[in-house]
Amino acid sequence: MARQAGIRYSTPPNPPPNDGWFQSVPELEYGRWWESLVSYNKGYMKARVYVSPKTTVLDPQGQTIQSALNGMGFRDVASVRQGKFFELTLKQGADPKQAAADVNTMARDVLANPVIEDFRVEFIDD
Amino acid sequence: MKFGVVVFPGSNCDHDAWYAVSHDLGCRAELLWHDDSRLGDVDAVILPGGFSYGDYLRCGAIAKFSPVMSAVKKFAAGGGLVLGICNGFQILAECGLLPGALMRNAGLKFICRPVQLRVETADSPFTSKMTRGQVIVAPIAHGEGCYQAGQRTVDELEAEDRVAFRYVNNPNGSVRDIAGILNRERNVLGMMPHPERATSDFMGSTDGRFLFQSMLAALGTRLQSVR
Repeated sequence: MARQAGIRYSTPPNPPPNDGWFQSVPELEYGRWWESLVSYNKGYMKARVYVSPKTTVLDPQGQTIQSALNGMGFRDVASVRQGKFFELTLKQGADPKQAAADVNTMARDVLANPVIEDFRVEFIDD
Repeated sequence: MKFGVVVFPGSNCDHDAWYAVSHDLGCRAELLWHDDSRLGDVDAVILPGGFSYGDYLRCGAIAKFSPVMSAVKKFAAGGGLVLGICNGFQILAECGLLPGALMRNAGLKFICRPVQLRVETADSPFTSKMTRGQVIVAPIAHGEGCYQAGQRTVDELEAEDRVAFRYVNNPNGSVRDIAGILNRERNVLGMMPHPERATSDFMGSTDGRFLFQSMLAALGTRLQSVR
């Protein structure tokens, strides 16, 4: 994409000095080499926590949304439950097994109140 | 006799409680900062109403991790009197000192008006100056005051005489009209209505004084038995 005026772009670091022991490759010398590092560093593990009111608990917000949707003409909506969604980005090198246990603990003790809410945890690679 | 009133970021009834205790009851009251892990020499703790930590995540969900709450838990475990009003009740429910949880009002609206409460038990340090069946008036001011708990928990509360107050006309959809509950040891009370806003004639009701005078009586006899 062409650079636009008025936007500050971060400048790539200087290419490594070529001290002559390898063949100069223009793609490597000109700004592209560091991008490979960025893509290498990608792959953070993310945890998604879905919190929803228990089915046995009254959800007046969901009911109100449902009646609004029905009122708009979406007659097929039989029920709406409103909940919360959290996306946790884990540090690189986090142990997946430990992370799974930890995120479950976080969801149970902090993100959801088990008296009134259910939760579900899933992991994705970004 | 000294009351401690905990101040969280976002508490807005802390000074009401302080005023009720120090001005209307003539007791000493101290404001306790949420970041302090010591309660000092207070004889009773009040968790005031408001919106601690902006009600982020859930009402009271962040406050339960504040340093002062671990001190309050210890204080309660040692038999100290803890009164949670409104947001204070939500915090007590979140941190497990009281069972159940408080959810969005059934009508989804924030309700701010005086309500009638029926005293359900006089057998507690908070209600000893009232009689069972007495109707008192105190204001409510909450958006999330719908008390919910599993059926077994509510049955247990009723069997153990731990429901302190019920709404005469349920404003928020609370299960079985519950407005305030006690813990098993009966030294922790959580209630959604504001007794501290019903302690002077200009407030429209002085019924809240019954509650504070009950606490004073309980503390007085406790102190005498110690001496």
